[in-house]
Formats: sequence, C-alpha cells, structure tokens
Amino acid sequence: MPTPTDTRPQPTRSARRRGLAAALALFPAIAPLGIAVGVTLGSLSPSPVVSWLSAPLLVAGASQVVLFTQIDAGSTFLSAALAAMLLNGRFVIYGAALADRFATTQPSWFRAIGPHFIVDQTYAMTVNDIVDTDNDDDFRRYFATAGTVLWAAWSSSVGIGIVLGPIVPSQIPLEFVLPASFVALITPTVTRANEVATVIVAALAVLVAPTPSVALTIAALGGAVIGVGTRRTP
Amino acid sequence: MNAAAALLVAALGTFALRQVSVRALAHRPLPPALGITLRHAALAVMAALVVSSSPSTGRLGVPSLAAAAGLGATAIVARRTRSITLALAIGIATYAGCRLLHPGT
Repeated sequence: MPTPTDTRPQPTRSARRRGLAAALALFPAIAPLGIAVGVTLGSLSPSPVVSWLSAPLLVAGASQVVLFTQIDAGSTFLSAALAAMLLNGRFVIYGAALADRFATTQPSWFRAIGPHFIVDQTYAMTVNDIVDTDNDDDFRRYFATAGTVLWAAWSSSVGIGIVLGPIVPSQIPLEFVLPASFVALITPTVTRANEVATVIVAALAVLVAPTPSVALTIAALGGAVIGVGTRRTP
Repeated sequence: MNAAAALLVAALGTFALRQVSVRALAHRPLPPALGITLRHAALAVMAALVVSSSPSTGRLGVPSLAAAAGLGATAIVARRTRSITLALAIGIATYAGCRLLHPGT
C-alpha cells in the first residue's frame, strides 16, 4: 500500500529565522553605514527631521546624500529629486529580477509593501539565500522579516548619526563603510569571467563619466551587454 | 521647504520605481536572457557604486591607495569566508592602517 503523502504545511520558522539571521548578519555593516550617512546628512542644511525621514522613505543611503547635497548646492527640489531617483533606478533592475516572487499568488499587502524593502542588501541576500526556492510562502516570510529588520536598523542608525554627528571623531573611517559593504556583498556572487568583466567595465564607467548618475547608466548598460554577449562563456 | 518637497518627490518616485518592475513582470515569467541581463546590470551598478563612493585622491575619482587596499582586503576575506562582518572588519582595519602609515593616501 503506498505511503500517504504528508500534505500538512511545512514549518515556517525556518524561513523567518533565515531572514532574521541574514538581516542580523548585515547589521554590523548597516549600522556604521547608516551612522555615516546620518553624520553626513546632519552636516547639511535641511532640518534633522527631514533628513531623518529620508531613511525610512528612501531606504537608500547614496540617494539620500545626493538628494540633500543637491539642495545645498542650489538645485531645485525637482532636479534634486530626479538625481536621487536616477541613482535609485537600479531598484528597477532588482525588482524585475525578483518580480516572479511578488506574483499575484502573494497577499496584496506583501505586493504593496514588500518592494519598498528592495535595496542592494536585500537583493544580494535573496540571490544568495532563497532565489532557487519554489515556495512563495517561504520567500514572503524571509523577505518580510529581513526587510523589516533592515529597514528599522537603517532608520535608527541614520537617526543616531544625525544626532551624534557633531561629536564623532574624525579618525573613525566612516567614509569607507559604504563602498566596503558593497564589495562584501557582491564579491561572493562574482564567480565567472564575464561577471569579472562586468565589474571592470562598471568601474571604468565611473572614472570616465561626467557625473555619478551618468556613470550608473553607462555601467548598467555595459553590464547588460556583457551579460547577454558572453552568456555562453564558461 | 525645498528639501521637504524634494524628499516627497524622491520618495514617491522611488516607491514607483520599486513597484513598476515588480508589477509589470509579476504575471509573466522572466525570459532567461532577460534574467541574465538584469543580473549583470545589477552587478554593474553595485560595482559602479563602489568606485563612486570610495574615498579618492581627487584625480578622476580614482580610489585612494588606502581605499584600494581596504577594498581588496574586504573582497579577499568576503570571497574566502563569505562572512560580511569579518570582511568589513578586516577591510576597515586595512584602510585605517594604511592611512596611519601613509597619511594622505
């Protein structure tokens, strides 16, 4: 007689725990980075409240700094916003890569709120941890947990940086935390020759482009071309 | 007022950016070629952010020697251990050490 298949729902703690563990593993990187961004924002002219609100609303340190730096440089609010949005254009790429995870099989609240947590760190975490999983419930629990924890950690860290900015010693290399965190995230995912080529082309794009926003556009296009053009390369 | 307006526009626009690709592709499978393209484009953007946000010597935005050493140490430790925390600690220590030994780099 065939053994009955167990149709009970699988335990969900593992997905939430993995999301929590992944987020906590990034906390030592997120916290100093958030403080560094907060210290920078605190030195600019916008009020501390407006500066801090950029953290929970944008959840993107580079664009937060660009936004208020442009305001201080005399840009209109529209120009500053567009510059910040161009830097955040990479979220379209991340979102497209994760789109099937936010399909209509997911609850409407998750499809509405979940994408707000799509940032470099959650994208890299998802690629490393859960992209091959077929279970939509597991992904939702993982992503909602990790995203919420990182969002709260980011918002808190930026706030701390804004408050403590005036008393942070200059010897602490906070300016290095942002690029180092990106390197730590992407290095384990670079395993093929065409991926190395993509990284090199992107680095060169920054050195030759007139502005950071143009550099990101050139880098994205160059990376896409390399990916499609060399996809048969071992 | 200008800053608040800029933040409002940027926040709404970024929310829309995150939503549009997820919603547009939620009802259809991602073609493999498009998936490869997107993955490489995302990798390229993150790599570009590394260079553009690194402390530089000011010449053409080239990362300083200390930053290059720190980033290199970060990459090596991240590759070998897959520990982000350890990689960051070693990288930051390398960067700070290089700056102590060679101020101005």
